[in-house]
Amino acid sequence: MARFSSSAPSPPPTVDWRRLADGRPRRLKRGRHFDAEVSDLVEDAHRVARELGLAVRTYADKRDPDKYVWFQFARAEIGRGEPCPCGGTRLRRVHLHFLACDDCGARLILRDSAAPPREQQVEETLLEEALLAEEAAAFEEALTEEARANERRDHERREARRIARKVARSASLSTYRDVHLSKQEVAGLDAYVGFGVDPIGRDVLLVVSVLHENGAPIPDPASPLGYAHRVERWPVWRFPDAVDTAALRSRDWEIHLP
Amino acid sequence: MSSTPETIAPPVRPTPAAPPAGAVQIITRRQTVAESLVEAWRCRHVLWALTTTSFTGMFDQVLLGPFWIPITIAVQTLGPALIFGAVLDAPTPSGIPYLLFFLVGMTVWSTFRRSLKFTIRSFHQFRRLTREVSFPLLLVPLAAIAQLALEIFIHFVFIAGVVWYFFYTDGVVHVTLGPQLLLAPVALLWALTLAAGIAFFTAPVFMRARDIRIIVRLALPFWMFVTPIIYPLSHLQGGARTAAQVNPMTAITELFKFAVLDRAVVEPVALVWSGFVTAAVFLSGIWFLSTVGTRLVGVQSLADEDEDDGSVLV
Repeated sequence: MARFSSSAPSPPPTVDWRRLADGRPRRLKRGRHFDAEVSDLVEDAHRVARELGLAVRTYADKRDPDKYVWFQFARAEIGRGEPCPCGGTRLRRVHLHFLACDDCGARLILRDSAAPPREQQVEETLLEEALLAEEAAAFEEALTEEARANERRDHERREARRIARKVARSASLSTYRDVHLSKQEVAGLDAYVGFGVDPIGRDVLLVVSVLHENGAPIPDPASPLGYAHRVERWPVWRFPDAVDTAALRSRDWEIHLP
Repeated sequence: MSSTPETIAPPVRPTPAAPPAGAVQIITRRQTVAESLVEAWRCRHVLWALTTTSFTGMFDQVLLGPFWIPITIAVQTLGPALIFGAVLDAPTPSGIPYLLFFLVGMTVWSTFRRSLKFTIRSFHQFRRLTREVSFPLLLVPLAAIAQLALEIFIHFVFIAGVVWYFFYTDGVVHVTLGPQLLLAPVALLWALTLAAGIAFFTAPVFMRARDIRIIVRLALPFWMFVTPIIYPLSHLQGGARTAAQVNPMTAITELFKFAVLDRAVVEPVALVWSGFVTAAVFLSGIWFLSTVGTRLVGVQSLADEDEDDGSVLV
């Protein structure tokens, strides 16, 4: 039996495969015959089998798959309907996974019908991994894009709600009648000042500020001004001696809303 | 209303078409007994792996582990020895203490019985391995038997202890130290061979019909009573003695008693008969295992002949 010497945590497998590649089944024990990981040993066995022009079948013992592993080398691995590498077509079944060529006597591994050859498996695995990585990146990007779109949509929705609330709050001008307004530029505000009569018939002074969004007035077809606005009222009837409402009415106003 | 009798043609089984020239054929050819033995010898190193697996598996989640072996032997020996020897006053040849007589007989019988017990489940125990790794199936029951080595050794320790006890109390050594002692391992190997031969039938059958385990369990006590374990063969006379010697275990047990106690009825005819039966059972067991057994165990698909892959059963 091959001896293996290494005390490193994860050394490369140092099994003398050439001695073990005689077609007989071998069970190797981790810690006694090898120190590497079982998966590394299996890969090493396949690598050596390729180098020797052989095939190998491995089986991690279910009792302790991290400790015991079985190996069995064969002349080649073939699929159903494939002949022996020697050209022999008369193959004797010796096991579920092994055949023997009647012509040359070689032991052959019968590949599972669904499984591709080992080399192809490796290539397919690499390809699959690459595709998966690509898919994962695309998926991640899609997720990011979707997250961004969602965020955009949420922001737009929030903005729309905010503007709607603004518009709703501003719809109060229509509650007044006999409104007289003139444009008034105050500290950069787009505003109208004037007066009107509240729903119960009292005179009020009005300050109407046109609401802007991104520097432009927010259009509102329902508004008498055509734009969303906010109204502040001052109760003139509380100051009958201070404000002459008749004089106000006699002035020229830019806008008159009956 | 008249009816015309219908003639029903018997179903015709379609003959499989011959594979085209050059097509790959997968042939299921059974190994001969000689090929099986050669292959088993070639892969004999697998026996150790299977034996250690089987032995350690036996004590999984068993707190006392192998310490149960001497406890079991003591209980299975001392209890019956007390009943048959002290209560029923069973006879022994030439004044041998009944405990020693019974213990020696039980060493052979227990080896045989335990072998049958362990082997019957051996393929079930290694069912995954046998399907994944190609090795001679003969090795599986043999591994189950090989794990009994420790048990046999402990039996000998018990015999030595009892011999020493009677030497200490009576001053008599009931064992004859002589060349006949070499026959003791021969007798044990013989018993193990017979057990292996039976196991080559029962172990694969167990994979498909668990009934075999019940049958064996029911048959073994009866077989023990017709084997001179609890009584000496010399106690039987005439037809009963002849009938007892038809049992192949009789000659084996007597041979072992002769080897250890130097007092037994060893008749050449019985030995030849037992040898013939053992060889026949062992060889036919190998044949059965390499033909029907492979299918029962499942290392060759049961659907081989039905697969449309040009398989031919040769």
